[in-house]
Amino acid sequence: MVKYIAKRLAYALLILLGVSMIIYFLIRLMPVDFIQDKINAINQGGATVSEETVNAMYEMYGLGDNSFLGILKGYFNWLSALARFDLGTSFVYGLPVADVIFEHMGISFAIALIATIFEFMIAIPLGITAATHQYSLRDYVVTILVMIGISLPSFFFGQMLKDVLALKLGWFPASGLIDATASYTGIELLLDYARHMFIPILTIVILSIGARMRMTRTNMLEVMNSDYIRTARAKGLKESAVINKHAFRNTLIPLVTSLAGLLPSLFSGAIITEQVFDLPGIGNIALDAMNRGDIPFIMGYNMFLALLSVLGVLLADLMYGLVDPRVKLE
Amino acid sequence: MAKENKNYLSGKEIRAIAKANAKEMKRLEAYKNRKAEEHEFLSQMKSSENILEIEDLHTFFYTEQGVVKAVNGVSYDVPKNAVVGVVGESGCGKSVTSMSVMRLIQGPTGQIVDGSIRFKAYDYKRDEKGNPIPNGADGYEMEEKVYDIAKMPIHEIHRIRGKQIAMIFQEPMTSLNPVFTIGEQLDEVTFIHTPGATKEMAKAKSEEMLRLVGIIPENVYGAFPHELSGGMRQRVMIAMALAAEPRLIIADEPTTALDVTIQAQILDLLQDIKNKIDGSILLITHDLGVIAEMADYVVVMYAGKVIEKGTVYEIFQDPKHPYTIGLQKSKPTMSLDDGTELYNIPGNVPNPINMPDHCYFKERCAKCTLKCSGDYPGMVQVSPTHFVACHLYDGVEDNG
Repeated sequence: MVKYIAKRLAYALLILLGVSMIIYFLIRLMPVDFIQDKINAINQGGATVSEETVNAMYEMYGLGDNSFLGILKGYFNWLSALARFDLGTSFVYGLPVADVIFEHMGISFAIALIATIFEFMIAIPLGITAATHQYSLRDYVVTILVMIGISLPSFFFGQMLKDVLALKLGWFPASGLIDATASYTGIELLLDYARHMFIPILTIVILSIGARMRMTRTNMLEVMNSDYIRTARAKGLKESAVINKHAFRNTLIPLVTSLAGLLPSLFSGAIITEQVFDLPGIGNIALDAMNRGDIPFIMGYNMFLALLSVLGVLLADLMYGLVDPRVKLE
Repeated sequence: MAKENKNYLSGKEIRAIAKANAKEMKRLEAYKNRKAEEHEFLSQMKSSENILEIEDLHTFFYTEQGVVKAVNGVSYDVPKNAVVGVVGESGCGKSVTSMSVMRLIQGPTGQIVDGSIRFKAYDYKRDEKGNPIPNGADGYEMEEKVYDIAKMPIHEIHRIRGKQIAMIFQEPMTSLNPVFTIGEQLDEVTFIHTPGATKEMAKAKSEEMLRLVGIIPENVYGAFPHELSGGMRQRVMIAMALAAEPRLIIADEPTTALDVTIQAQILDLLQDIKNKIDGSILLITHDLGVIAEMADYVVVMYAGKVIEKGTVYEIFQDPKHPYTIGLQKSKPTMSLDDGTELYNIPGNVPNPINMPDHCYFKERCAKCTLKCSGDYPGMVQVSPTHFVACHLYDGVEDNG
């Protein structure tokens, strides 16, 4: 087992190396120029910048040489810094990338975690009911409702919920993370967070239930038609025990595996939802960094997600071995 | 019925079928899920010798192409302490009949439409509220009562399944739940059927059952199904069926999926168990050899109907129905070593959706007479225990 994990981690390192190289080259080839934007801003302020200063700035940020060798050199500079656990300094914030990521990740993680918990808690029972009452009215109603959920674009649905629940009804604040006009502490602060995060979380949950519910329903249907369910019934088990014990344990296998695959999405932030509700989450920040050509930040953010993805896959395999006795990890 | 013979359905026909099916399925599902007092599904046996009496059973499947009458008026009895073999080719309804007895037909498409399945159960005596009455010692008061399984609401069926009738399935490879150990799955039977069973009691019972089927419990009790071979799994299935000491065991092609040496072992085991337990076995197979070896009575089915039934001696020594005769002839024998080809019955089973009104075997029958184009033949009694549904014997009835 330990050997297996060590082997997988060694592979993961190779994968991450390849990923970092691809991402670095792609970012450097992006049609965004942080220095040019900065100079344009200075020019608009009335001042002029000399050619020499511009060149010096390009050199300072390590963006002077855009030839293949130049980019390669930049990549190895980034890599050698990383070997010293240094992700570099964000162009936009002037702070270490790691600090920027960790500062904004909390809020995104909290939203994603709560949304995921609700998603599973609602989608799994719905999927099971739809499967055990296949082709009944209940199945059709549930299926149609979640299909509507899947089909709604988040920028539209989030905006709509915001319009109705926040602006028209005034039950919840429309945007932001805390009430800037009040200074809450302790439990009141927590409640204030909860009020602000309610609509974003509701949006994410409604939009993501569909896929999970469909997955549960399909798995459950497959399991319910298997021979061992017939055996369980023939034993004299009541239908509820057949479903909740014999069928559910088997439906759980792909669900648990998919749970581990969610690891990166817990930390990546919901870019569009965070935009709509103006939340200072990591998704919002990452989009901003992308638009402004903040190369160290984009590298740091993407590598962080790549690491989580690789770990998520490993975790999924380990969990598989845990829930399915037929799987042996070697 | 009088539809022209074509291979496709028009959109209009498909919609008409779907509408008619939906209506029937809704009615039958409602009947299946209804609430009912016990007396509504209690019945009386025709003969006290029998443990199971199937009478005029109709089990249909409502498919998109039309209604498949998989079991179409089947009647047969299983006497106490006897082995009844049901033979017939694939799709003749022999398995569907046994599934109907266990009420394992997959709804809403599959439904028991008509008929009765009377079973003499040895069940708890119940008070007015339907709870078992304790008898003071460590058990409950028991009594014999006859249930009509076809009329039971589906949520009452756990009174029958496992405890009264147990089933051994055709596919040992997939019939055990892959995520639970053999021990867990065996113990469950005791937990379900013995009120107040403890973990130790269940384990002791499971180990006893494993030993009975020739397995050393220490090796298998904690194992997962995938760690066992097909033959071992079928032994486990048999142990599971025996664990609650049922009065009737239905073995639905228990040896079909196994290789020949294992088949022989499993048959020996069933034979052995037949002598050890105080109950009956309903053995469903398409293997005449198995029937000859195991059964006391034989039921021959064809296209959803019983065409002949009698004692094993009568069916093998004096088969009456041309189909039974054909089946006997198509059995390979070792003596047939003179280069002659193995006999096969010409033609095919008619389309199950549009069954003809006359005898279903008419097109394939060598002894067909003019009468065979008329009504479907009724059951003719040719001896006290021998019945056949064929026009050839229409006049013979009175001498039985």
